[in-house]
Amino acid sequence: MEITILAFGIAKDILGGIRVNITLNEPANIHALKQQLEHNYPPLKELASYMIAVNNNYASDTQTILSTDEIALIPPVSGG
Amino acid sequence: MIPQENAHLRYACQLVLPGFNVEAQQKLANAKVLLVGAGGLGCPAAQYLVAAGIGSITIVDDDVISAGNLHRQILYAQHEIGRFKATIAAEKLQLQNPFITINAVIERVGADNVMELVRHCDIVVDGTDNFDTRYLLNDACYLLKKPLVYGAIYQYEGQVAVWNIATTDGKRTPHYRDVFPSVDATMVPNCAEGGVLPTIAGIIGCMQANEVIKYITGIGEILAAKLLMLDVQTLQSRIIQLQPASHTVVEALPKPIIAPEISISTYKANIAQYFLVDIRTSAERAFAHMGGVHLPMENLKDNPQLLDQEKPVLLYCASGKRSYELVKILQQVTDTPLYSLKGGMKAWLEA
Repeated sequence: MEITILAFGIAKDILGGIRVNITLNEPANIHALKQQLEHNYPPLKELASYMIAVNNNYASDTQTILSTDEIALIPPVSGG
Repeated sequence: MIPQENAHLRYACQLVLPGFNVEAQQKLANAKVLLVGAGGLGCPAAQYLVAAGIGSITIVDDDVISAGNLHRQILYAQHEIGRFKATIAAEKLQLQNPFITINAVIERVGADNVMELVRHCDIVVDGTDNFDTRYLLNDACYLLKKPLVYGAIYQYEGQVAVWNIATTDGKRTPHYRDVFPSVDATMVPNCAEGGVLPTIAGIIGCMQANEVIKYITGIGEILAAKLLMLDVQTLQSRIIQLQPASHTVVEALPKPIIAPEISISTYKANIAQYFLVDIRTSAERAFAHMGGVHLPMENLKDNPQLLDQEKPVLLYCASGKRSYELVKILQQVTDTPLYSLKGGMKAWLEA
């Protein structure tokens, strides 16, 4: 299935846009999504941590993803 | 009692608020707030906390005002460049509200002083600009069971959350490490490097003050177990619902890793003694540079043998933050003495 990722902060630079599509084999969970993302965009792995939110809820690695879900990739931010 | 005779006049417009009253004002007067970082977030947060009548505010910052701060750090003026932020902030804020206690602490928050600073307050505001201090504050607040009002900004975006609130079942709401367990700081630009719109600093700082006021008075619903994200380009905001309770145990403060730094004046007096390396991107290099060899950060991370030089190697970037973080990483894989140029290109241009 194809899903759309909304990128925030430095993730916009890493993914090359605020909205990118990614193809996942079904059934897919957050862990599989992260692996695919880090494969397609290696600097994500270097960040060490980032949050995935599904429909505005924090998503753990085992959570299943549906093609209709809104998925946000939220990296840490340090500025003050 | 609220320590002033005309409190009913000064605070009249909040005392008449539905749900607000003299008891709420008294709670503000009794409160002790620790504000770490008197920069883009700390300035607006402090202004509203002071104006609202927080009884005691301690402002901790070891930095001095620079020209590049003035577009967003609105407590400071042109003629105050070079003076300590905490001192100037406390002086001006005290004029705004002479009936509260404001302490300026000119220290860098570190493992040596953080517990003592946090122990004596009711709530902490994180207005820092680097991951090391954010994690340190987070862990100290976790260990001392103090709420922490987090705010962070990048370009046109901001994040706000309140960490570490006691829940009715005796647990604590999530903290920073539940959301971001660790970070490679070289990967995330700060305000000096990535840029920041001044108004996002004001908005997020005000939101932090807003959460402090709500927490102390008990009015409204605080951002506990939630993370607010705001994009000022669209003014779209969203609140991410986090897990209800924290699962990440912090057992002790993180061990500090220090990178040796060289100041601009030291470098200028000993230019020939260092092998100077510009670690910025090609685009940044093309725009302006201060000499040295250009070895971008990613290149150095993958090829640390490039650091095998006869002289000590001095790394520089735009602000001194990326080079500092890179020295922390690379000093573990090379025997060459490594230094970070404090303040980077920005300090070079301002010197």
